[in-house]
Amino acid sequence: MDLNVIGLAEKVAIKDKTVKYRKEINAINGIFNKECDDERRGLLSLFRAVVCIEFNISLGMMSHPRMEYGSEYLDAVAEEAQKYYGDLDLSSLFNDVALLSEDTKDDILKDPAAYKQNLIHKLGTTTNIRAVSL
Amino acid sequence: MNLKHLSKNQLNPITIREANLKDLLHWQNHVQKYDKNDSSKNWNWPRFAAFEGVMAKTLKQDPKFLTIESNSIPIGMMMVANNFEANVARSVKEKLTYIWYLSGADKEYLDNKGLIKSSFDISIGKALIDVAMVESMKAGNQGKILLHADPKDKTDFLLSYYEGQRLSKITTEHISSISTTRANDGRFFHATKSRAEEILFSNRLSIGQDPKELYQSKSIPIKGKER
Repeated sequence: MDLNVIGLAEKVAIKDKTVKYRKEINAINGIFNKECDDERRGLLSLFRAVVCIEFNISLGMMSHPRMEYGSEYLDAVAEEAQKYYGDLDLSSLFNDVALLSEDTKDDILKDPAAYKQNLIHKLGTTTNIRAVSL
Repeated sequence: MNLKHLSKNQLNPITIREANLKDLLHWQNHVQKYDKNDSSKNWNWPRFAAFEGVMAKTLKQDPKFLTIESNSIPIGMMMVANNFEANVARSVKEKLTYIWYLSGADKEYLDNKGLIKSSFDISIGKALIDVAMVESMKAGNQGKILLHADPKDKTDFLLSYYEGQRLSKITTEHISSISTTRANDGRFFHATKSRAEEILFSNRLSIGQDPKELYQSKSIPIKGKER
């Protein structure tokens, strides 16, 4: 792989975005692990999916032509981000998004921030979910 | 690269290769429209690449789209994730190959292309599962695979189909959750290392291919012509 596919400035940006993503997921997981209600756990999984989609959008998914599946650029960005995941359960995180219905994907992609706010509203103020933000 | 694979009928040899975006677009525009299965008829393969494919890459799931062709005509399409971790046989997570999407061409499409389904001595679905097991071996997952029978299949055809392919259903009594966020709904099927080896061995015996060739080296040997 061409080591110059992504520049130093981009690498720094990817690191920042990934570290923020990791912190946000860890915060959600902290709330998730203490939650006993199945419906609320479902909403938290959905919240985690939205955060994952936001993270990927911030990396250029679905907007940057160079992030097309199969591109060297996507591979380079992915490889760079993977350095900073720590001990995140990546398969579970992928599960969250891969299981979304097409309608839900469309709704999230229309306005991820608004979708997130709606979830925060549904989860209520009894959790620390408002403190979690990218 | 081509893998000469799974066809006793020499008039319809099949090849397997990694699919690119052009292949996914072709499948979507020319093959998908014939799909009558409730679980897959509304699938959007280019979107799978743009959404799930990209995220699977960034989340280190090692995704691949694989296509089966006969006489350069696509007859099967699949998306796998070679770096998936799940609880399948015990409470410890195992790395395996997860088959996210799997689709064989409809009979009407095959007939239109002059490929009569009955001329395939092995079903396209069986061939795709075999390909996934070989891919699992190549990825260092020892042939282990996991898939989920889509609940949109109201007839439960998929449940009996996968059992017929000798995949093991993961019982809810045994495993309650596949991962921290995904409960076992009783529709997950997997193949262990030994079961995958049995199935691959048996498939090759049935088509007259030497099964020992699967184990000649650490990587699966490639047969047939290079593309």
